[in-house]
Amino acid sequence: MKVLLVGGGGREHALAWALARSRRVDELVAAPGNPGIAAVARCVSVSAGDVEGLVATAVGMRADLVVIGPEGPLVAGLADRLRALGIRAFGPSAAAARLEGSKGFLKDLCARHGIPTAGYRRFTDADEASAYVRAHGAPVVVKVDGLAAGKGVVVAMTIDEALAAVDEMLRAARFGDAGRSVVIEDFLVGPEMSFFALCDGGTARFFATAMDYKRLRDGDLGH
Amino acid sequence: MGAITPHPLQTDDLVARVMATIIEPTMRAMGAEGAPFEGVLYAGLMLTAQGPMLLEYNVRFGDPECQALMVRLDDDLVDALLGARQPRWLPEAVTCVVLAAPGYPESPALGDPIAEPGADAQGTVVFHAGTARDEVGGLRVAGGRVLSVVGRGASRDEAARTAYARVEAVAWPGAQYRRDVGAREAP
Repeated sequence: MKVLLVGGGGREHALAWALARSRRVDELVAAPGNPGIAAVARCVSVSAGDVEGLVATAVGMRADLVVIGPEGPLVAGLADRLRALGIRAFGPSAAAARLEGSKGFLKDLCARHGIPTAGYRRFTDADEASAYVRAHGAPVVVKVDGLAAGKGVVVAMTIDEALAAVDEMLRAARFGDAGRSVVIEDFLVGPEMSFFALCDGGTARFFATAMDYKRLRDGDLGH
Repeated sequence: MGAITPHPLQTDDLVARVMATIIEPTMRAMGAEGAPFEGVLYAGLMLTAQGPMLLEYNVRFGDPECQALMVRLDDDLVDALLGARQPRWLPEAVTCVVLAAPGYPESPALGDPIAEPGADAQGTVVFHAGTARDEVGGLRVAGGRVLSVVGRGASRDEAARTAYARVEAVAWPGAQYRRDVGAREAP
């Protein structure tokens, strides 16, 4: 089959490396790819944010499958556009991508369906959010609602840190539209785990677990 | 930054509990809301004293976890993504170490020349991220996260040793990376 891979980071090089080893893949194109991906795929200069360009690329190459690496084009509806054209896409619809694209949507969904998660409140008003932080106390977690490239979460160990996060997100609007709304949630304690499942719309299959060493430098210092 | 797979606390019981209490209810909920979920559902979990709890969802593979997962996958990725069976995995542990540009994340210094990482060798694979070719075909730093070095080993310690031996070989002057990926139970 002909496969289009969307993205150009380390994640997508790893996916390209594995796709190139698949006996089912005859042709692999990457948009935009990178110099490592270029060793196993034909790279086209269409950015991962260019939904129209990606759809045109998939149509032009008669792709049998489009594997979408980053969240941006998923939240922007790339999988919907492809499926409407009869092209198979690995990745959720824009409506389903709200699980990542809106923290508030996820928390409300968990509350409605009894999925275990930290207690929370949602705010758009900075004064109300600040009053809640003072009443709740620290530690507490403040998150912008929308996508913020992993930078929209503050684990505040003091009330002042939490108030500063509220100021930055709701008053200074540092995250733009993504930060128009915030979720303030209870601080949980325990080891973290990355847990991956593969889903087909109806059922989910366990795939793998991993431990993420998020910080840049040793001993979890730095970003 | 880095990642290891499998997670040291993964057990069959834990996997079954997470599927039954978090993942499957989410699938049913999204179906009921008219937004059935297709693709990879990546749950960020906290293993609390009260049981596993959901911190957040991502709707795509994580970076750099994906680099570690793909090296450990002992199956056809297309079959795994589209198929109905559990994929096969290598029995080994896998460690991924990310090499970042100096100044990352605030203001990564771009343009430094780096050597070709070369072919997969001795249980290691090097993946590109922020790299670009210059006019004469040389490799240059072109983004904050530059390379991911992945190593396999019979144990977590051995996977880390394998990965770091390759890290030493591909690191350029100024490269930033953790030296403790895989070295402790909890990051």
